[in-house]
Amino acid sequence: MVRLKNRYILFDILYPQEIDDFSRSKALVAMHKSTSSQVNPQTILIALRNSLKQNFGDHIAGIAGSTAQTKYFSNKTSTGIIRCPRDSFRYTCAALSLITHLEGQRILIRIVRISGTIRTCERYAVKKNKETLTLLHKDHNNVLDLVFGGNQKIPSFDTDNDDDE
Amino acid sequence: MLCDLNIPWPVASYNQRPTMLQVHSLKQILCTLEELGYSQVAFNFELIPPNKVPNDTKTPNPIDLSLFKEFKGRIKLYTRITLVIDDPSQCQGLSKLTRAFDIIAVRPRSERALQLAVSSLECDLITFNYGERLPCYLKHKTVCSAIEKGILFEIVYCAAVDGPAGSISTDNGITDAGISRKHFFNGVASLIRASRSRGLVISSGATNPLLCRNSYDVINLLTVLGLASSTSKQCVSSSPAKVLLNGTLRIRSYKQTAAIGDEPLAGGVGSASERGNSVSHFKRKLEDNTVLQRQKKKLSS
Repeated sequence: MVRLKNRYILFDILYPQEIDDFSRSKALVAMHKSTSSQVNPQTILIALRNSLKQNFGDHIAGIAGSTAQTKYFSNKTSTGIIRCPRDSFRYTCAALSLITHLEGQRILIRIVRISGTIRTCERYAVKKNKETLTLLHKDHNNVLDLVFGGNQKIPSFDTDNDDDE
Repeated sequence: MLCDLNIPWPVASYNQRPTMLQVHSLKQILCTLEELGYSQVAFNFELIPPNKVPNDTKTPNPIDLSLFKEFKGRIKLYTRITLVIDDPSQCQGLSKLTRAFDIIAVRPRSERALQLAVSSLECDLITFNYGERLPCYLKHKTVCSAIEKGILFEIVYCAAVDGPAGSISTDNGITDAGISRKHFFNGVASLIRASRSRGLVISSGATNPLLCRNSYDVINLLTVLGLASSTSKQCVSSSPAKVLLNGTLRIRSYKQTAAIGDEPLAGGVGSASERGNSVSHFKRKLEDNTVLQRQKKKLSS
């Protein structure tokens, strides 16, 4: 039997308006602010469906939007994974990048990676975060102070490993 | 190498200077672009008809790059002027500008102006306002004769991301920019048709950091609009590099053929330019890398 083919979109939410200091590391930290608790997987999906409908009409919204699903979203790291049907993933990506507001706040959604399984998405997210941390380490010895302004642990990228296979 | 050739300079006339707030916003845009992976950014000064080029030749360039010292070695900055032309008589001062700006662009607002820009003006880019209807029907002959001469056409995507200033944002999470977006889709589709998907450059035109987009998003948007994905990739990387090279050659070379000195002409991200790489060198290296990676993959698998 033929399997239903999907695409997993790894995205993150950036807040470029929070930048106050223009050095590379401080700008990076300010941009990757954590998302407010009002935003949850459901609100992101609703915003995506609205955007699909507004930009590409009922036809595409029906094809692409109705089976799309937010598999993972972390407010702390502002990172998430969306699943969508493979035939129409280009529309989903375009609609995602055309979203400008989320829960009344202006945001920038950046698509980081698209892949066929959720596991590669997770791996890439972990790799990307590690790279970012190394970048921060280059400029500052105490990254934790820079990020949190105190002695705290780095939130690990805890993915809920519900396999979709 | 990713290029964004259109970050609007916030001031529209020669005798004003940007305020602290506007400079702050520009720096935010630069930080965002850096995070999104862009390495070459051009500030765009738009000259709309009642404003004119001043007669004293000392200050033909109002863009002050010394305000952005902290980005040295991170992003390479260029200056660009866009002349808005309604009527062929308006572009007399052009010869004064050619040496002051890295890129010279033209935004025709009528069919005659477009004809003039294509046939006789010495410019690098032709652009339109994508938030409104295109000034005329674009003919394949006109557009392709420009591309053959080396003048490329620019697509500005901020009209699709956000409407013009003052557009209404609705509660459901999307800005109601329907009309400007409609014009954008229409304009890009007709440009792709007229140019046979050759010689296109895409840039942001972002007046605010939220309007910048990842190169992937931009490429994807163009693909949705009907451009082949390999061609759309060129629109953010190699085509704008060609424009930059063209502009620099106009300033620094003898009849676009020979240049003196071992300084890099254009391109070369921060550190790379310090090593003295030119665009072609840079490109070749990238290609070599990909070939190497491919071979490595083959070996490992």
